[in-house]
Amino acid sequence: MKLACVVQRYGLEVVGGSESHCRNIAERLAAHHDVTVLTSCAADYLSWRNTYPPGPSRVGPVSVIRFPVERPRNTHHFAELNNIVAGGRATSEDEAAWFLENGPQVPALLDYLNAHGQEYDRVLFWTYRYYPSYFGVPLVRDRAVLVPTAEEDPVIWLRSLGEFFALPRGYVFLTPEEADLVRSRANGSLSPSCIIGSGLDSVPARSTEPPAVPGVRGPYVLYLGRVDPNKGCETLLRNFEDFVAREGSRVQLVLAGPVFMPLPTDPAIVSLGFVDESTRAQLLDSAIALIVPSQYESLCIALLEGWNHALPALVNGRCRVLKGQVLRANGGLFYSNSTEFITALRELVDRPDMATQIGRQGLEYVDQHYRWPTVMHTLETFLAG
Amino acid sequence: MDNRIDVARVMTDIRMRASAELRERAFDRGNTPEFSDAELFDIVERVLRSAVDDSDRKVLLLSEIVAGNKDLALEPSARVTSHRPVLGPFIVFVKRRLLQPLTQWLYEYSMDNFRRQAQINRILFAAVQALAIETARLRLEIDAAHGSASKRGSGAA
Repeated sequence: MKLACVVQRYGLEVVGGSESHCRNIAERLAAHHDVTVLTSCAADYLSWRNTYPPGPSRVGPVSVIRFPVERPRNTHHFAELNNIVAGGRATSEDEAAWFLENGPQVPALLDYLNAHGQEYDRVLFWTYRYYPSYFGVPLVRDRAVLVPTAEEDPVIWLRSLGEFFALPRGYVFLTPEEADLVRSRANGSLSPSCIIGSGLDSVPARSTEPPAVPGVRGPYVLYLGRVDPNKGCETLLRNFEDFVAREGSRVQLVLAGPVFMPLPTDPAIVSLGFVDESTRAQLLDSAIALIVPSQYESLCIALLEGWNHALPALVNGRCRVLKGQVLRANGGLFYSNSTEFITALRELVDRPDMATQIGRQGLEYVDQHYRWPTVMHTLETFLAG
Repeated sequence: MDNRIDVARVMTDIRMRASAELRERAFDRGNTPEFSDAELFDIVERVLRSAVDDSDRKVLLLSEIVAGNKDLALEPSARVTSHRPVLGPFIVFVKRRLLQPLTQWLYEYSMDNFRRQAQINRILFAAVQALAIETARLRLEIDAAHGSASKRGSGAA
């Protein structure tokens, strides 16, 4: 098949959930199909400044065509529009302006889809919220397959999405909860879909050696990813401080990721900043549990990574996706307030046999559903249909 | 031997213990004697929890009813406009390019609190809605009970 993958940014240096998902899928599809990635020249998702040269190039096994960003994002105007959207008072003009300003504004990519879209058997679009997908899907709707990566944030409630979600020929979802969410927002019934999640390679058996990381002294629970209030870290810190106040500092909280918020100066809380792959693996191997406090997720790769290391999880139960994943896998506990956080964490700390078994169940779940051959088989069968 | 752990079962136990702890705090230190009754506390907690859990997804009657009332609407966004026909564009330019950057820190601080307030309002509206539904149900049940009592009464006469 001749396939196009449309995504807001693309490149080996580009870090981001949907961008990495797109690259992983495109590279694997390229083993059996003619795959072209259509993307912007931007590398930074805040400004969308042009970084890569426009035109055709190659990234690994994949052909890439880059289109210049016509205008970088006006961050102040975008912040204003975001506030209107978050307040639930957006008019249809505000909504259109939001999608335009969210960017990256690549009209040449839309011109290309108009002129050449019909040459592809399928055009896959990543993430409904960005300009290339929002304005691109309607141009090739008879062959568009949308990977929405939808979360329960305020944007999903925009009225114009009802019509938009009725357009694509098919959907690729990351979890059943995401499928339910998009189905509930589409006008009319949803096109055929499949649920693939994301793939992982298996890792060597879990080592029990403590990690040689400064500041990490004894038993610890781990948070992986950006340390940011938007990821639920403010609430996590407050919950953990409540835990320490009641239980004493018998467990450390290790934060492994770049920090975007002030942190308390408590010896029980260790912030490592960005960590390399090998440190990350060491941390995952010897933690008591992985904590995922985010409220908005379409699929949490860190959670799957934790299970790949047979690590039990403690997740925010207010996030339907996380709670659903944990219950399906029998791979972790969840909480919806501070008292439940403390009780559940105490359970994982005081009952190591139970925690180990829950972690093993998580690994079994990953083995069954999230290995690349399984993921790609589901996707290929769907695209061929 | 199958030593699989059913997380749903573990969570039921955790939630029960967390709830008991919460009741103890609310009763012992919270000066709410009604919560000495565990069954009553469970019902109250269930009603409030279900209101809070889905507050993002619900269409809330109270917020729809007051929707048209400008005085009751949180307007967190600062739309920069001017009503002056000639000077307007200049005033907007000054506000956007000079005043807004200077007051950005205050704007962001306020925005953060506006967002939190909007979320709290939503949860409170959801809780009020849940309580109104409970009250309406009880009223219907009482009316039905009165109806059958008066029928029985007239039948006996």
